[in-house]
Amino acid sequence: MNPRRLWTLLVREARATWRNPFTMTILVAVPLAALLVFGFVLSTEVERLPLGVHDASGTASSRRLVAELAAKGTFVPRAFATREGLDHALVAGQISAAVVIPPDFDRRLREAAAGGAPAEIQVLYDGGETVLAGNSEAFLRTLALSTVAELSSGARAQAMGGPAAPSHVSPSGAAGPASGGVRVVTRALFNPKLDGSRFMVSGTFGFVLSFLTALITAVSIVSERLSGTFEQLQVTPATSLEILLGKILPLGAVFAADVVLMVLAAGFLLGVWPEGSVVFFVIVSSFYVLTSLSLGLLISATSATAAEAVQKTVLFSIPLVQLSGFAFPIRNMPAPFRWLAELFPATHYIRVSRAIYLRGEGPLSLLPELSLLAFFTLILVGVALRSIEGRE
Amino acid sequence: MSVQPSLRLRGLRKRFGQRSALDGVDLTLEGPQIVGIVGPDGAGKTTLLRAIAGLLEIAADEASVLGFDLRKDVRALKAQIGYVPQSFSLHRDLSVYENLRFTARLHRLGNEEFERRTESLLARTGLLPFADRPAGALSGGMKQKLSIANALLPEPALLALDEPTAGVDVMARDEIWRILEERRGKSLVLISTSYLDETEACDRLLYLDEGRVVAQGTPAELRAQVPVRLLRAWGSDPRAIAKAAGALPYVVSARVRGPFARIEIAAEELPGEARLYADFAGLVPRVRLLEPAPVDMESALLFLSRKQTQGTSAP
Repeated sequence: MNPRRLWTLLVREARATWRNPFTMTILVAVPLAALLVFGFVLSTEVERLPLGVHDASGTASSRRLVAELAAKGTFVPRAFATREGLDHALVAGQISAAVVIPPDFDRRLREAAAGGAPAEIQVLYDGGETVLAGNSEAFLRTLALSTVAELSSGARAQAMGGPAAPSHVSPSGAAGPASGGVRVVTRALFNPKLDGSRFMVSGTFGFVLSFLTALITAVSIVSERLSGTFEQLQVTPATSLEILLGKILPLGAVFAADVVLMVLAAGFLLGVWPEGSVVFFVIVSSFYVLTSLSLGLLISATSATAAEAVQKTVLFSIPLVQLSGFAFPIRNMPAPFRWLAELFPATHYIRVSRAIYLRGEGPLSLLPELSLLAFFTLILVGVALRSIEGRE
Repeated sequence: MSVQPSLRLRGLRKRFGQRSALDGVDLTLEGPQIVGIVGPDGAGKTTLLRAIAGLLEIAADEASVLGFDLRKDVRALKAQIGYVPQSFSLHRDLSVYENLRFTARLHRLGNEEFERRTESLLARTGLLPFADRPAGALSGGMKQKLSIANALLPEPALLALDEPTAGVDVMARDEIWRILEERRGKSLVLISTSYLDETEACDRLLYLDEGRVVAQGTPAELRAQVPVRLLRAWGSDPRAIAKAAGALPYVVSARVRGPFARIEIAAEELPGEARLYADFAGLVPRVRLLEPAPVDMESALLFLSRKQTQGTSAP
């Protein structure tokens, strides 16, 4: 090995890397961003989770229970006057979990202290958010049991005329045995078995249709630009819209067929079928394919080579996985990242996909998310159109 | 619809980031003709052709091509233009015939008209036997002929060709030029080239340097501007003759051209005939014959290039 020759090669490579801002960004910014986002933002721990509370009892004991739930910082309780209001908020995704305290809670608590049947509180949670649901259920159960146990021991002491005795509480099952005079009945909405594959399948559509569609489009258009065929199209009388549609509709048709195949494969091989309408899901997904195709066009417009297009798409897939709710619950992220997540079309599509797959929702209840998705699509198609229209 | 080909550019500018590719091109062309664009590498030839084809966002005081303003929407202009880029840019997976049909459909050419024009173009380009061959499987020359046939299919009023004969063999070059000759009276043909014989075949030449048209005219007009005298020195060793002649104080350049040495002398430094012949007679090896030759395009273009270099390097 010749040291001078090696030095020449090293210097050349270092210069080439230094002079390429995109590579430098990938080399420096991506590892740092990934580390910070994974370590700081993407926690599966339950923290400041919106918790619906319907306190039908309205007594000192029930208020103490709610206050204890809020005190740890794990939950942010939000009171609901009616059970209907609570259910609606849970279905709409405004809250992740809920506690229902029955009207006879205080009386039953006292009866339990005197040896009667235990008091019962109900814990409801959104089974669609599998990771979050599992964790929040455990937290809620422990918190509720320990608080109620303290309350019951106080009630026992009152009944016996002595001080409250400490009580050891362990979490119980879905309708588990009473502990400390209370029984916590848990119920998961939409995905009662907390089936992870159902959760992942519905999210995978979002990942595949965002990442793969953008990647294939970007690489295909960049290759066309490099081979000059794209420029040849631009010197014909074909309009930008015709060129755009001519590019994305055939690819879109292939990806729409992919959606159908994926639905069938998930159904027959994994036993996961949408709770809602398959046709509605395929229509929404095909529409979302247009969004991703436009994103691919935008990536291609800013890439000089196919390799650069691949790098950019992979770079884009990192926040896609981290922030779109595909793998990590958005509700658990700090507020700025939650707002950032709302800017990704994938976030809204994954929400819609899970709503159809897990909750069986239809067009009416999903109208706000679908409108946002349409808004993003229109913007992206518009910008993609301009990137084709725009002369160098 | 027949369009009278015309082109009027005034102060045409194009920048790519910090780099100025076209720096105030002034050019007026009227009527069908073949116009050659020449100049050193990086002079702006490709950029000028792409700008004229409506592919670039440009700035200009005036930029009218076939009556369409290049600064505005150029979609209608594209129906009247044929463009052949430097590298082959047709669909490699499509056959020769399918490539032409694709272009015909984008130009909304009727089936009958398409068949008629295609047959004629394929016959003239010699591509008829290869009509079903994928474009990607053609030789370099065939690809270029297909590109030109493709650009000619809509019978454009303006044809812009970027070095269409670069890297193709002599036969293909000849065929390409025969096709272009046919368009001489019908279209405004703009062709960038680095082949001297091709510049001679043009009706008009533009010499571009550093993004500006620094000289233009017919080949004869450009040659007439050149203040050099050209001599041919014949002898047994033209290489040694050229080397010895290059040492004479009034010789601008001396190079071998086959069996003779090509000697350029600055017109203003031309010595008297007696001294000239005496100097050449005294060269070793011996010059058997010294004869004057007409100034050619090589001299004209070299002169323009040297003039530009001196102009830009002057303080």
